[in-house]
Amino acid sequence: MTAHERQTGLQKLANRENQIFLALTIVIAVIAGLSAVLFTLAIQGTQHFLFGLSPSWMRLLLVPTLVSLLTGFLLAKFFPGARGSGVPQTKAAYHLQGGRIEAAIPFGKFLTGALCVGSGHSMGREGPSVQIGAGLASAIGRLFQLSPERTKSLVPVGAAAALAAAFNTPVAAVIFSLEEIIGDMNAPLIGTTVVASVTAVIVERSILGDEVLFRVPAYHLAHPAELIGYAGLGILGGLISVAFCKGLLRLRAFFLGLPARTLILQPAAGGLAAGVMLMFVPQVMGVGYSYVDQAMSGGLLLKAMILLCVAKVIATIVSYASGNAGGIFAPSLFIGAMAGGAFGMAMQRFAPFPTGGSGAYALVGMGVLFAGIIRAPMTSVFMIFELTQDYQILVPLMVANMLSLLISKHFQPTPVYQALLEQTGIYLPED
Amino acid sequence: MTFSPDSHLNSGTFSALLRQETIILVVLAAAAVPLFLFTRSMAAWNRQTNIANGQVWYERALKAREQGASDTSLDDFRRAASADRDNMEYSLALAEALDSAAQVDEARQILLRLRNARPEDGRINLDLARLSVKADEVDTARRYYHQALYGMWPPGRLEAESGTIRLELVRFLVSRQDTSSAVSELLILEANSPANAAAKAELGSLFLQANEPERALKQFLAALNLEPANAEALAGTGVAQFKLGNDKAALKQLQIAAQTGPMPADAEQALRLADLVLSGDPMANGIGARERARRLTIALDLGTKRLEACRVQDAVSDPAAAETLKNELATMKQQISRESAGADLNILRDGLKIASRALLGATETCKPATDLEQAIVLAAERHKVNTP
Repeated sequence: MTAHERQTGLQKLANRENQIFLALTIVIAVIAGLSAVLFTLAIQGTQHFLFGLSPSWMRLLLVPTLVSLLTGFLLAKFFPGARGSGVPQTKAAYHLQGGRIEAAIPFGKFLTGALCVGSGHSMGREGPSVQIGAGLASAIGRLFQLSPERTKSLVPVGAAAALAAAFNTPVAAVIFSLEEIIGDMNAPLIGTTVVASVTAVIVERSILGDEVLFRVPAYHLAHPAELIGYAGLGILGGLISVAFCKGLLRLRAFFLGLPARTLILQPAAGGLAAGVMLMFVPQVMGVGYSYVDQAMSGGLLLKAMILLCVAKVIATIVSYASGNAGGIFAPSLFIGAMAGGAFGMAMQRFAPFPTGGSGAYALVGMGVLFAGIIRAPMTSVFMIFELTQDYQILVPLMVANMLSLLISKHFQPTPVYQALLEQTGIYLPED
Repeated sequence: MTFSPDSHLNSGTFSALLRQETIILVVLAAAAVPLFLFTRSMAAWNRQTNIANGQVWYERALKAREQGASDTSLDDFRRAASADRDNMEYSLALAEALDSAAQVDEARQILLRLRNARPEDGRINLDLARLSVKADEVDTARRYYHQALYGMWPPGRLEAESGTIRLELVRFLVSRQDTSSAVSELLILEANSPANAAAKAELGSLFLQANEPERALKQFLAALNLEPANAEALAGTGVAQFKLGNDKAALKQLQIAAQTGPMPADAEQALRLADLVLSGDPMANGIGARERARRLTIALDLGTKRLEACRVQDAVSDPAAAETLKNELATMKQQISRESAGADLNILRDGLKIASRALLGATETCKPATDLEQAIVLAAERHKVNTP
């Protein structure tokens, strides 16, 4: 073989790999999207099966406890990498393990995540979906025996696709993948993540239809001084974010400090605590988007929103810290909607200038808490923008997000996902 | 496949690679198809479950509403609408329950969202109209009422309800003093009015409220033709006659109505005023010059007292004009005291004009206080004494 022939052959292979990578991106996006939809359906089905229409207090207490006994066993014996959200593990896999995620992880995450969230734990489905999507992408990459670099590149692709299908916001999913998983908004993978995200959303909509996740209220700034109100919401959101993150990390540290033999029972302890909470505040059960929707429609009273905000913070901390499988993406939106809605109602009563509806504050509150807890401000802005499709919301949202982020960074310098990893001895590279 | 620049490749290995990759891709794509179908069937099952749950919650909500448990009913309607978001019936029921619970903002949001999906739906527009009525948004309410009237309804519903909806609209317009719009709607109602006394009498009452006594009288008479003892029509006919200035006919009709039973407040007032106009009008037919002079003197005295009362109340905006009017009243009283003054139509006319001006007061805040004062003003109006 001459040097020229060899060079041509290599060029052909490189081109071929690019083509395969693109085709794979689409196939992975379809599979990740399907897995995310199936995961959502599995959670709903589990919840319906376990609780029925109007569960008794005994059922509310026992279901999360008993199911957590089972998931505790599964997580301790078979899927230790499937605890918690899945986003930190995906980040670690991308940055430290060359994108390698064991093939059992997506399966384990699906099973334990559906059981944990479906049994009433106050946790989200988006983080697990990200890990499932990324895990499937990684497994498929290895099945194709792609180069480590290529396999690593598939992880954010799978994550973006799964998140896009789980949350129905394709642009925010791309931004999340770049901002949170890769940690670089200028990453060259932006093209493939966009393709994956769009493909997954098409798959999701072809199955679930065009139904929106939230029925978002019409937004308008009633008075320029309202921006001061949104700044206030940013400060409040920042403080709640700090309280949530610190509470979560402290309780998680407590559980991690317990003897290893208790590991199998820790999720059940969280399940018992969650069950007790469900007996009094069943609204904190699971993902809770219907109550977010209600807060945005102005359908909750001030006291109810304050109660739900506090209860969700506690319930999520307990569920997550005790080692159950589920995310904090949805809880942060829930807490934000309640805090924002309550703040908006207070503004309506006490502000000396006209204000918009409490639903608008609930909406901005979601973004604020997401920015404060998850520390993904750009994702937060794009997510709320995609939900509202209204440019007017951008300025108040950015003002509030910035303040929330600054306060959160000041009091909790390490982002929560990173801090959770560090608690298990995993340290991500600085940049 | 791991590629590196150092790979030693020939066409055989390259082809083998291609074949292997293609097979894996095809297998993956093929695996995605059953996964897609499975997910779809799971989604369909989930949807059916949600629809069934929605139905259960809706029925519970209806039962709770029947039992008067409005909070439980509202919660259950909310659950039903949340379980089956495509079901307009549940969302409408939720909006109505929210409206009843005074949670108007949320009710409006739900209805607006429904309207975005079905802008021509009559029921949604009607509910929005009712919310706008509560918020006193006249133009918006009128628009929604019209969209309800000309919108899409389940078969047979519009025919059954259009009259009721239009009546509701008219009542709203009348209550907001938008009489010209109310009359337009009433004319449509009149054209489609059923041939029964109650409907005709109600239409007549609405015409009366919309300041259309002539049309009102027509409806009341039609009602009396159908049911001669119809109390509403009897009283209404009297009020319409009174408003048309036919005091004698009004008095007679209202006296008959009063004998049949208690009358509404406006009919009672019309009866009193008609009686007073007939007994206090100095320009009435069939009375002598002395009686005319007596009646005018009473009118002028009342005018003087009213003007003084207005001055004491500090309700006179132009004291100089009031003083002039007071002097005119005094002069007229002197004129009327002459022997033949009661027979002079010009004096009577000028006297009644001055008295009514004084009774109407110098300002908006100082108006005729007693029925007799009102009767004199009405008499002046009947004789158009203020018209040049």
